[in-house]
Amino acid sequence: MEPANSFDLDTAISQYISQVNSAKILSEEEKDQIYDHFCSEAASLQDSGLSTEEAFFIAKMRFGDSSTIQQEFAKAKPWNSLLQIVLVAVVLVLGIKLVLNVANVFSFSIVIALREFSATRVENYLNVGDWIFRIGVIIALLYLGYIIFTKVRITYIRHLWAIPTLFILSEVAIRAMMQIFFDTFTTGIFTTYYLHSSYIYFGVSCVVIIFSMWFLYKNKDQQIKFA
Amino acid sequence: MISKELVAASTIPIVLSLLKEKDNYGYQLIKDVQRISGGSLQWKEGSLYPVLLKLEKKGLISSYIKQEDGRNRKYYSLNKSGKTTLSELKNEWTNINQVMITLWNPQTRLT
Repeated sequence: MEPANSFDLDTAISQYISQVNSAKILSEEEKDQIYDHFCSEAASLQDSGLSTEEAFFIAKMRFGDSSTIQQEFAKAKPWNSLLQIVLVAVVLVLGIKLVLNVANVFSFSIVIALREFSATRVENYLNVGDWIFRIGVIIALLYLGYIIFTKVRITYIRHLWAIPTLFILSEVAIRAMMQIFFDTFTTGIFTTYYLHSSYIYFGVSCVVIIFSMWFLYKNKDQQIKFA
Repeated sequence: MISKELVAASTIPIVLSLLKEKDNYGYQLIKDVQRISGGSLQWKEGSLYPVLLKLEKKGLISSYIKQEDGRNRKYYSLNKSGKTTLSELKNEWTNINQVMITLWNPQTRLT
């Protein structure tokens, strides 16, 4: 048989807080604050003779609609628009580079797989493959742009965190593949020059990426409005 | 019942005034407002917390955590700049109030 009062106040409060925090906008301190508010309100209402369930529903009604409260919290966490533009620009550049890297990783994978063929045949393949991948990348970017500007009007910084992370992984992958590729197919000055300039580029990129990732982490709860 | 717009406009001076009296936490601030206004000033309770957050970000108030009833309770206190802002707001509201009294009280207007 069902107990007379199976209502769990803690669970109900946690569920409400989760609704307010569906966009992950609340800090732990703010969650504690809402929890404390509900406990105090429910205790006061229960003292006046209401059941736990009734007390919770009245407390919830008085506190306000979860989506409205969420919006008000979002407004109270203002976002510096200049930094937003800089950040979005950095992430956008990394995003484009990520797509190009993915295309290159595919390209190099196939080239490495075809190592047993002659260098000329691989070169011929690369020429054709590059064109195909470049067209693919342009189509993918156009589609991504279309999605961003027409469908996703608001996003949160933390959603963008994946871009620099994937970018670093793709850079590591591509550099490893280039090492394999150049060791196999090229020798002499070109390889040395390429790798040295690549290390400088890689170092600078790492600094920019680490900074942008730290910045993204610091502002993970901030909203970005695209349009 | 006081209109929504007036309630919103008066929230900051009320919160700062209450915090000038003593350090307080969100729920108690709401209850104090209800008591002082005799229930005529009804806040949407959840809306107070984003307001407190804004005031804290502006540096008008600061907060600290206290353990009470086995829970973490966030107390707010008024900062120096909060006191300055409060006295400015007090002047503004007193001026508005004075204008209204003058406008709506014929005896005052004659003098």
